[in-house]
Amino acid sequence: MRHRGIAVLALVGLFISAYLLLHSLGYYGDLICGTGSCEVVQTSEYAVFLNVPIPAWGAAWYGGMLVLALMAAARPGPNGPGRLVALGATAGLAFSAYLTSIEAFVLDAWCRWCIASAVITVLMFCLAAPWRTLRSSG
Amino acid sequence: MVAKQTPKQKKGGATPARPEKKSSAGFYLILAGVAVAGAAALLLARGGDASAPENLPVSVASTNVQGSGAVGISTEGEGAPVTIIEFEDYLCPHCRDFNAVSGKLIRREFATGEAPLVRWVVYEFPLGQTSWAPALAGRCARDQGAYWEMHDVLYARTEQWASESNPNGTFIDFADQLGLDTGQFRQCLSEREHLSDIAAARKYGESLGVNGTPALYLNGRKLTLRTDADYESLKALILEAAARADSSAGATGAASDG
Repeated sequence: MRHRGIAVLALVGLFISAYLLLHSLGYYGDLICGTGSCEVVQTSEYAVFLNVPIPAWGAAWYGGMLVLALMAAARPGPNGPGRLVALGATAGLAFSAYLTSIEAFVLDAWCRWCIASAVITVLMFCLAAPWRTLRSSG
Repeated sequence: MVAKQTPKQKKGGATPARPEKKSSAGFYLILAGVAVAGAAALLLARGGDASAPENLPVSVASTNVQGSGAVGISTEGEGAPVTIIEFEDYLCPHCRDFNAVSGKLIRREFATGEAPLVRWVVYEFPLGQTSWAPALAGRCARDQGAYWEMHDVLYARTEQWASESNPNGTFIDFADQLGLDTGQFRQCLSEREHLSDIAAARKYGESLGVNGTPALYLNGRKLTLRTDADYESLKALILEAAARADSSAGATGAASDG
């Protein structure tokens, strides 16, 4: 059940990443951001990681997590891909924490889409429960 | 008969599988709903944006280089019919891309010569703490009349200084290569007297609602980076604005003659 929840969250995150990626590729004009500072964040030097836009990393990660979660939901148990989901969720949470700290301590600017993505990542981590999954399968 | 039924039941026969199938169907329905809603939102966001350039506020002081106490750095051509104001950050990849091609070409083609069509005014808009040092280097080069040369070098060689915790040594090397007085340049960097100019430039940008870089304004109209800022689009906008300024000047002349 929890892997299904992860799949739904990953799909939502995939759309957020797709929106930001399409913006960075020039398909949209200004970002719909409300009162946030999306453009400050999206046009900063930290919007690119290893020469690849951060939203592309996000889309790839969410896409991968979606596939893994669907597989884990179809094949539950210690021998299924649940461990990979847990590992992916942990890696995602770490990277999300890094990006959020950049917003808070370096740029002093907040992008609502990034915050939404960070919240989704935390929820996915909680559902994946790596502290339980990795221990039980180890 | 009985023997055939037993393995079927072991594998999970028809009766216990039904709730599972039902919940799977519900799950895939939710997933499909999210997919449809997400795709629709992406399409709507794109459609809604098409009218954005026309709706942007035109509240910029169009030809005033001295904006809200901030001093912009300008090309020659005080009487140019078109003024382009740019807010930039030397560490912003989009600024680098823009200045590498479109910005440089437009400045070379339209902002030089005896009667340039364009007056290009730059204000720094440092987005992060590390963006202040190159902005300062630009201002210090400007003191020696080499702002645009330093401006282009800073963008062209970003990778040489961007990862340094104190890039001033690299900036001094650049100044040396540009033939500047490195002693004076070094002193300017260490005294940091232009930091207040950069802070004022950034504040000016904030007062105009700048929230990202590069932010471009053509005769007061905010341009949309994604659609207006490639070379051909920008050139067309400049020629259109110059023609408009020319015809309104002609009309004023005719009226005063009459």
